[in-house]
Amino acid sequence: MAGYNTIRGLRVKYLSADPANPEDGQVWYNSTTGNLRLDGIALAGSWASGGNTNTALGTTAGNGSQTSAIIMGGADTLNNSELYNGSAWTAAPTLNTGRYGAGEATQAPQTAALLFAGVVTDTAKSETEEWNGSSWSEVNDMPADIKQLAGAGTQTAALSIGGSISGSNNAESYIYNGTDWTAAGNMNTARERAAAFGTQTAAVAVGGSPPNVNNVEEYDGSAWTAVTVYPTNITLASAAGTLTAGLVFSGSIPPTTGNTNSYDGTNWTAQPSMATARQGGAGAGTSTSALMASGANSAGAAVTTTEEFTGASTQIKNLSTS
Amino acid sequence: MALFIYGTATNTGKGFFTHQDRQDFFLQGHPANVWVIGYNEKGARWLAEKGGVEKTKAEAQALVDAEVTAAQEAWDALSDEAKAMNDRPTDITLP
Repeated sequence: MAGYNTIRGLRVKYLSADPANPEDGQVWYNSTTGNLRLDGIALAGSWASGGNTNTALGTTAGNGSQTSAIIMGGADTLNNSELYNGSAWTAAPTLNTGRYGAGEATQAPQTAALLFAGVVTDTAKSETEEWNGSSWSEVNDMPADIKQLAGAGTQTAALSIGGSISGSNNAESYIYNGTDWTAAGNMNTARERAAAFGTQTAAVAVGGSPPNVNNVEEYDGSAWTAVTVYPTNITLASAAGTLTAGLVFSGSIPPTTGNTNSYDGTNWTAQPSMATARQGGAGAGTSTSALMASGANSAGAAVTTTEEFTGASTQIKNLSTS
Repeated sequence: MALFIYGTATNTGKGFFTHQDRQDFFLQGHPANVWVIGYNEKGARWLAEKGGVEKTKAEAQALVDAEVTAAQEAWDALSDEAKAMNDRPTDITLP
């Protein structure tokens, strides 16, 4: 039987500890543990369960990371907010205006959230609220009352996307500088209930309705451009990440789905699905470390469950010599 | 040979299903706390460890159907404006 040095032209290194930065495919013998080791074993991405929220919020909003997130509002007209530490949710001070179908600053950290517009008992609203890590404060309203809009950016550099104004799909977007809202250009396809991710100057809007569409548009800080469509029509999906490293998950095609797709700024790539299909929940995090909280299940019931996505990776494994 | 195990179990939150579980067996959650689990040793052990109750496929399907039917009836009773807010819940056929 050929030895490793015959096949690779290399001898297996005899090391007292695993190397700090092994390359994919590198093999070595760990003399401390007595194991032949290989780096580069592919580990597929997957969704695992996270802590359950205290309240089933249905259609809600959120931002932050997988280990430090905030969710706020919910259907119908809930004013709850909750904080996540990577394992458990804790009730936080309530919003001044309970609502659902609101926009949020998806890139904001847990301690500096922004929630804008939304629905209060079937009525569109323009109220904007800022979270400073301990309480919610009313700030300047949006220029219009808007239902079911999406958002991107941070508390001091946010972007509102689409929604419904006076019962019609809206193409308009607005930017927020931490004080005031101003018009920022129209999307090519008016829609509400889109998913969005990215920053104020590099944002992506995905899908929406009615009717459910697969249109995707990118915003560069001055104009919207149609780009590669999402793999299916989708509405009420959730999202995380940036324009060049985004993740879209859940939503309603219909049916309600747990489908997950990543975006690299050009193409969509299928990723492992969530364990439980849902729509309207809050997304947060990055394309390789995302969080999906609450939402409504396939029967339309608001849920408390949370799922956490970890992207594909490689790892070091022992090799069997038997 | 069966491909799936069917059962009910309540999602208790963090750790209810892990990334390793998702690598080890198929797992799909549905309304009525119904879970479809890959038919292997690890899948069966997971359902048992979660205090789950194994069901036949027909029993599991009936539980899901009852919840979806109730949701469809509730949606049908909504006003046109309210219906526009959400898609009608669709029938679910368990794999």
